[in-house]
Amino acid sequence: MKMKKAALIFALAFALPSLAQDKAGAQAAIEKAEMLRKEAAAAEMEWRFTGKRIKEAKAALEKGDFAQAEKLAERAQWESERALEQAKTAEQVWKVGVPK
Amino acid sequence: MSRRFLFARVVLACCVAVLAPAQPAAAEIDPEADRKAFVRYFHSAFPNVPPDDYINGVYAIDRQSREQWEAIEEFPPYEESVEKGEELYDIPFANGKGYADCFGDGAVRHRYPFYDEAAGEVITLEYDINRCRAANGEKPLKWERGDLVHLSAYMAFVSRGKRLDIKAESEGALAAYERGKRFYYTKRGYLNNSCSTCHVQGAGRRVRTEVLHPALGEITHWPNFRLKWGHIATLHKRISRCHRDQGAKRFQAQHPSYREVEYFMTYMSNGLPVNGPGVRK
Repeated sequence: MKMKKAALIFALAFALPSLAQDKAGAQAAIEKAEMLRKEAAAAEMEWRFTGKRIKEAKAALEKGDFAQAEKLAERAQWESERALEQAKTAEQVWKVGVPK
Repeated sequence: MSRRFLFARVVLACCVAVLAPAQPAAAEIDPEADRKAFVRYFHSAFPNVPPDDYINGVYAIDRQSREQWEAIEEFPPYEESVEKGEELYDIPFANGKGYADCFGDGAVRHRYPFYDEAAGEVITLEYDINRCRAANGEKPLKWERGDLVHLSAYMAFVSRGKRLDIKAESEGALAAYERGKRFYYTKRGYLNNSCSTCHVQGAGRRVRTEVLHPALGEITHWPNFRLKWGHIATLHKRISRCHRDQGAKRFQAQHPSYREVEYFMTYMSNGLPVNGPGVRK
């Protein structure tokens, strides 16, 4: 019995901080994804499903599925980063297709 | 001037040149030269298409589907919308005035969109119908379908045969034109496509079973009854769906950028006759 109690305390001592860390990590990833999405939207280059992924990440966070929340938020970040790259590239090359 | 100072100025000038937005000065924007090059491009891509036939969109270049389309045009599905639009046009507002006080006989489609100097924005026909309503104390109509589209269909119908004649002359108008042009040619979304990918470089090619229409004349036949939609709707509905199909987040109809892209698209077709409303697959 004593052994079981000790094992439980031991597990909680390590698991709780790690859980808190996971939650904070997912929250930070969502915040960054939202910030990048807004930046892409301001450049009129937001991708179609980025907002949906952020919404799904928030829902996963609510459910306590921090790993999934972080994964979705990182995917949304990646999309907005590509959209911002597109905007930068377009500055240089948008006229390439204009008939001369 | 020391060499170090000179070097710093050169570096600064290079940074400014790289980072500055690419909007050229008004003097460098020449819509008429753009239009001529645009027309030349399509006339050389499709040498057998008579100049005015571009108003028929994809049916100007796709013989096979043209026959089916001509058969549909014998009893066009947009007829009911034109009739509804005529009825609506003649119903007076609560203040006793009506659409005729804003648009005369309604045959004005060929003069839209235009750049409103006082408002500092591009005004499309549908946008102006709602402006007319607001000025007379009426509620605005929904943008993409319904009464606004019926009114627009009627006004396009009575404008048939009138040649597009829009202007882009002032500094504000030229800047709006240039933004619209840039929007048209900018690749976006996860498919990294632009409007021009399909309708300039891709005109005449196939996407699955569909032939892509040429950009020249693509705005003369709106609003349009699309068999795919099963109803008549505005050009902005089509633009927003294309925008979405590029893998980008679409805007609401009559978004300023859509109005500016319509301004550019219409300028490219200046001189072609209005033949709206139309019917398409």
